[in-house]
Amino acid sequence: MHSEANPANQRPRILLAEDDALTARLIVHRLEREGYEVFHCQDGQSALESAQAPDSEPFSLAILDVKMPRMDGFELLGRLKEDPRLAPIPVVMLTGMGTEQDVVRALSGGADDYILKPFSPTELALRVQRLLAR
Amino acid sequence: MWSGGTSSVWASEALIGVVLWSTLVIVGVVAYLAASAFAMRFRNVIRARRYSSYEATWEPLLLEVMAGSLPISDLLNTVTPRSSRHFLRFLVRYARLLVGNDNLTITDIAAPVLPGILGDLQARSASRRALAVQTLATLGIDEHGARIARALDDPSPLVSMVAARSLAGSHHPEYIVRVLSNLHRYSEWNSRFLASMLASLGVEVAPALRSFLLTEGNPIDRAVAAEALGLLTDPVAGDIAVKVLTGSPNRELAAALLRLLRTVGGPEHVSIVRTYASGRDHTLRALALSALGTIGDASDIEVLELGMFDADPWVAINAARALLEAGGRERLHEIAQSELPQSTLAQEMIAGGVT
Amino acid sequence: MITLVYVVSLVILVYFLAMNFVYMTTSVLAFIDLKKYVGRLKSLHIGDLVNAAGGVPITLVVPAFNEEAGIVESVRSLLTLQYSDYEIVVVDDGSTDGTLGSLIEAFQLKPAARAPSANLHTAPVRTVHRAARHPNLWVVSKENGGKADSLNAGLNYARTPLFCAMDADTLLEPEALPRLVRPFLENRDTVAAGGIVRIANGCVVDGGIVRQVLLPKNMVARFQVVEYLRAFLAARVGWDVLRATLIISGAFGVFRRGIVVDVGGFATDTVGEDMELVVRLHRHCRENDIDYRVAFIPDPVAWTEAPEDLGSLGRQRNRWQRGLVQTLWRHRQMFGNPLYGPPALIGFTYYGIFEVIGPLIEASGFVVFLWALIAGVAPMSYILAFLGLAVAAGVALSVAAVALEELSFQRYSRPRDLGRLILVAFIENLGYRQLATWWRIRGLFSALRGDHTWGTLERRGFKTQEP
Repeated sequence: MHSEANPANQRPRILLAEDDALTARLIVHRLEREGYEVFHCQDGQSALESAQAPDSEPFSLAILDVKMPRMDGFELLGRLKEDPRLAPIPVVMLTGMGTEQDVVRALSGGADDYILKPFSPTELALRVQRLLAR
Repeated sequence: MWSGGTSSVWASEALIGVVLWSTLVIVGVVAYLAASAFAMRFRNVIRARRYSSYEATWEPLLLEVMAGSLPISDLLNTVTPRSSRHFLRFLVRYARLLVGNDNLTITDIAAPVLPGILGDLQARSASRRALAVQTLATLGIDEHGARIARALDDPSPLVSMVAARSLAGSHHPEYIVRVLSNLHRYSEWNSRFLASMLASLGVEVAPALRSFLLTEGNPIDRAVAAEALGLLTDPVAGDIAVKVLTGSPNRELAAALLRLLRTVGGPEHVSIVRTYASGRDHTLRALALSALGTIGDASDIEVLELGMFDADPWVAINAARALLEAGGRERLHEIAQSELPQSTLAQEMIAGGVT
Repeated sequence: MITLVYVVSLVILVYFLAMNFVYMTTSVLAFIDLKKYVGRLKSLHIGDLVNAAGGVPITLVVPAFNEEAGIVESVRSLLTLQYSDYEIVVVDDGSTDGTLGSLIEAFQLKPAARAPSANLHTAPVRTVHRAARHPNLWVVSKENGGKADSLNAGLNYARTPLFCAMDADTLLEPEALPRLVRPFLENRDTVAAGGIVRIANGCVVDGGIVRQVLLPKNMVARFQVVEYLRAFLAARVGWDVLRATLIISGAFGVFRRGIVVDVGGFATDTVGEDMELVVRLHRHCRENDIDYRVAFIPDPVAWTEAPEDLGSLGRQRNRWQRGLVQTLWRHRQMFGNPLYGPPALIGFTYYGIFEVIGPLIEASGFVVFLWALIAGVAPMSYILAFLGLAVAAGVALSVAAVALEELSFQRYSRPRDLGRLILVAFIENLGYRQLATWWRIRGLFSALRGDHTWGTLERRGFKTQEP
């Protein structure tokens, strides 16, 4: 069950920005089981600060919720893509139901993939795996 | 009494009595309110504490079950008859976040526990019945669909609406006729909301919606059906829309039909739309011009351009958007560069800023 | 002389009994309604309901005058609201500070074309901007014209069926929009909806969201907490049950765009434009036989900063009272006219008697009692009984409001705070209430004088509005 994708025992670090505690727990649990290290932030501002912190280990991927306090997912996405050091990190956006226009905004803003809520953690894990394999 | 001696008036026992008694009554009623409110709060606090201790036990187990590393029975063994309602409430929170196989796992876990709340469907309190319908729908729509459909006829409009919404989201189009026959009960609800509820049953419901549109029923309910057909982009609905429009329906139904023609209409439907485009009602005029943008031809460009100069700003906005859609971009450019007051509108359309 | 005093004191007694009876009635109605509302919330998940595909698009109109300090933070938190389809139109009301500049910088605003959807008369619009990264954020900059004028300008640019009028410094609950839009879904005749506004002083605020509700340390603000609880939970919820809602707070209210445009938008010649609009909507719909509903949601939706010194509180109350008197006077033909239904028969009667004339009766009562006590014409027993009634009923009603809050929303989580609220309900009788009465009387007189200087200064700033 645990990932054998990382022979060097360097688990890929994933940044998760999600304000809903229950959703975050579901994602963290599933991704940790898949062998990733998940760093969870409850709002866009703190996620950006964690990503930009000079001494932090680099993230391999970011999962961003759209609706978050302080800074929403779109602004966070834009800030990440502006920063030459962070721009290459693949991004998966989590968008709510009834917001199909958000998908367009996410993809045109530079996101690599999106997941519509309500979601399937299994599917999310598969997409993460696929993006990291690129 | 008015002419009585000073002190006797002031000391009037009756007066003091009135004051004292009123004080007592008011304080009494209010104290009762306060006491019962605090009692309810106390009960809620105890319930919330109990729930969070249950949750702390259940959540780690549930996550393991969902990951496939723990059998369902190990989780179910921790549920007692006393905690089963809390357990269902716990599962509902997860079920609402999840789709696909992960959602199926939750409904599998819930299946043996759900029969415990079937009695609630007959509860005296409407909000309790509604909650039961909602729980059954979230955790066991396939098993309990028929029961939920029966709740459509519940005397409480709240319960009926919860049932209708649950069925609409369930991908069980077989319930459409029962939902449609209850539509008049939701006539207070926003028609756009109702239409999207009907449309979420899926494209299989289009035939039922079409025949409902052709009935002599309440025009407001039929307008909802027309909007739902538009959301489903039903290709056959155009002919029906024209047929109903020709019978000069009321304003609300006509508006819905024009909106429908904008999405599903074709060149063969354009003539009736043109008559509305020059009508006196500005709402219908705006909608007709908007429909001409998608189903009109080159001969309509003149009308659309004229529409931009309509006294009603809404008609102008719709006409401008339609002009762009109908291939009148050059005309828009001309207006945008002119000194006319409509130049802002034209610029906006060219920039694509319309929502 | 004695007879006169006697008559006066009888009037006062009747007034007090009636007032407490009215408050008791609305409290009981509120109690029943809140129980029903809380039950209903459980079975209809509010977010789903509103965010489903059928959700109604809405425009938030945010007037801003010299809000440089807070506007970026406010807009940023508005961008994260839990709602699927909304636009934000910030209206810069000719600010003389860097309000527009800071918005342009923070959200990368670019000049954009946008055609008006209505022709309400306003001060001239200078520029229209749109945010590069947030296509739903627009900023309209216009010449100074006051809050009502700014709202009208925003209304001219709104394209959605609903719009929301608010203050730039209002803190919204994350679910505020779904809660206020819900009445428009559940009843297609709804034209306006308002909710409970609460006092943010003392609370822990983080990222534009009230995280923890604490009582303010400042006594002036604390009195207002109890006052707001009473006004909203014990009174307005009850008025709503009776379909007599006359006030939707200017700090946060949702309206149907079309009908507000039809009645001509907000009135720019009153200090109480929020109440005036609601009354005008009632009047318009009743006169033209339009089915309509004005809804009040018994749920906290917005938080506002209350004045903490008596000077500004006094000015605020003076303004509210003038707004109230101006509105009632402008629509005086509605008084007691059955054509206008409960808003006139119940609402106007209540506001006229208890909010406009009431303060005069209270004040004269105070004077008469003082005189009677000093002159020794009234026996102690009577005075004590009367004071007992006044204080006991006042406290009881305040406690009932606190209890209603407990029943429904339980925002004050610390038992200590509850004890303090009840204590405040006692103390406010010793000075604060009399002060509030005095402000109301002054407001009444400056409205009666037709004082035309009132507008110029205060029309520009709108930091605090009628709750």
